[in-house]
Amino acid sequence: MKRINAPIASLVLCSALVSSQTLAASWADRISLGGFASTNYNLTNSDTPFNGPADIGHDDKGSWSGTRMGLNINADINNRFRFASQFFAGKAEDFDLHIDWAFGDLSLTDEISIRAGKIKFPVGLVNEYAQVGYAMPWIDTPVVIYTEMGSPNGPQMTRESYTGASALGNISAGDWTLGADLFGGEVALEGANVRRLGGLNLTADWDDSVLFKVSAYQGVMSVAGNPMMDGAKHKVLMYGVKTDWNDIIFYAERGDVTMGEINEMKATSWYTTLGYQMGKLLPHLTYQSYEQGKGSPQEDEQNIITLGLRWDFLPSVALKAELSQIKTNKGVGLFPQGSTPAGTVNMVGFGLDTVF
Amino acid sequence: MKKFNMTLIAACAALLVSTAPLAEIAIIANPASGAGELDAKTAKKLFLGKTKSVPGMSGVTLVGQTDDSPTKAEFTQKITKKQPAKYKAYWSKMIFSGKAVPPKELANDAEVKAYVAGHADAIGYVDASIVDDTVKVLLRAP
Repeated sequence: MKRINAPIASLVLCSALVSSQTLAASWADRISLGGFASTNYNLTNSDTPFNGPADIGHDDKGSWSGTRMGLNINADINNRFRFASQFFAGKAEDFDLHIDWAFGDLSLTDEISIRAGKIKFPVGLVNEYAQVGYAMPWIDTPVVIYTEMGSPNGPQMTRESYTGASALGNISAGDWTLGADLFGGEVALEGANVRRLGGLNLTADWDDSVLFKVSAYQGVMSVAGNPMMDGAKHKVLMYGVKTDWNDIIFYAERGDVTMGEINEMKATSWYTTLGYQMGKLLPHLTYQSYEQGKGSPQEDEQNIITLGLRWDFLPSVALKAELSQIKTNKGVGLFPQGSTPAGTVNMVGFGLDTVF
Repeated sequence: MKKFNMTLIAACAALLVSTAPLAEIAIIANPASGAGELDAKTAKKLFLGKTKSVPGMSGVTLVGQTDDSPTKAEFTQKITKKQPAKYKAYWSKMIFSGKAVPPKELANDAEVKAYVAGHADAIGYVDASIVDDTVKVLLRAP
């Protein structure tokens, strides 16, 4: 066995150590971590669970089902390509840790980029960060649009994520930034899939104070054992405006959905929120309206009024309290099918949100 | 009367203290970066993740400061026109939707200045009083 030349071995070892340290330092600069967590509690005066089945809906026994957390990892591979991912676990899914989204993003120019992978579903004003309580005034996003739960029908307007690709572009013109997101792929649901998904988002942002957004998409349902739903064309149109101007917070958004020719699943939802930022306090008022299956035997009509308060009592930590009145005029709305909820149900909620 | 005058003087002093000019913020880059001057709108867009382009630079690494830094509070209000909590909420939306990557966070002005001085692609913000010739000022916000 040949003896290894000690000075050369030392040099090689030192070079390796230095280069690995340099590489480690280089990667430390390129990788960023972040996270969010929310703990929510909701209590109603009804034994009929609202917005979910008995184990996760809100009822008179109280529910922590909105409790959730996420971890975000971003790696800048170079100046033009990055890989971003997010892991998520929530009580509604028994804290089953899964990939919320994970995609590669290639910047073709400063204005145009393409993405491929599992991507957050981009429709609606707030769907892309719907799980991040700290990023919004409410304890939870308005349920008449942003829920996949509720009755078996539910509004069915937004999804958690899709697997596919998108092309994004934005241009600036004075104080305006105009954006477009053309996306396509498929969505995996529990017991169903949305195939041949295609959609477009258009946004107009004025000086980061006013945002207009229009989203439209369609896909083909694939539901084994359900001939009525299988092959149905699922179409959604959403449009809304969000402002944060001179301490006035305002949201207004509407969504229309059709599921083939199934009249029972044709729905229209809208909500509006008005709030006023007073230092660390943000009191706000929200009205939500949900209509589904108009003119059909399974017609639902429900509205919700919520008075809420957000308090940013520590940096990166917000405490929230809300009082809601849920009024079901026809059918069951977001109560379970077959239930007989009282005409009006009251709900109180508390939330604690943080980002790190 | 004397007591009244003293009270008045104390009140005026308190007013002067409360309205004393706050720190001037400087957006800085490495002198070798080739970066040109920034206008306020471009600086705002840059630190809100809405643009990645800076005249004279091919790629940019943004450097910010941690939440407990007084310079960050000044910066968010003067450059991004947002209160610190709203700046944090804004970046929460951008990060957790996968839209953009936030500025790298360092502890204080000295660390930011040292980082920018050592990295040709870095742009950061500091209290203008600590600027020296190791960095180049792209914008001052009084």
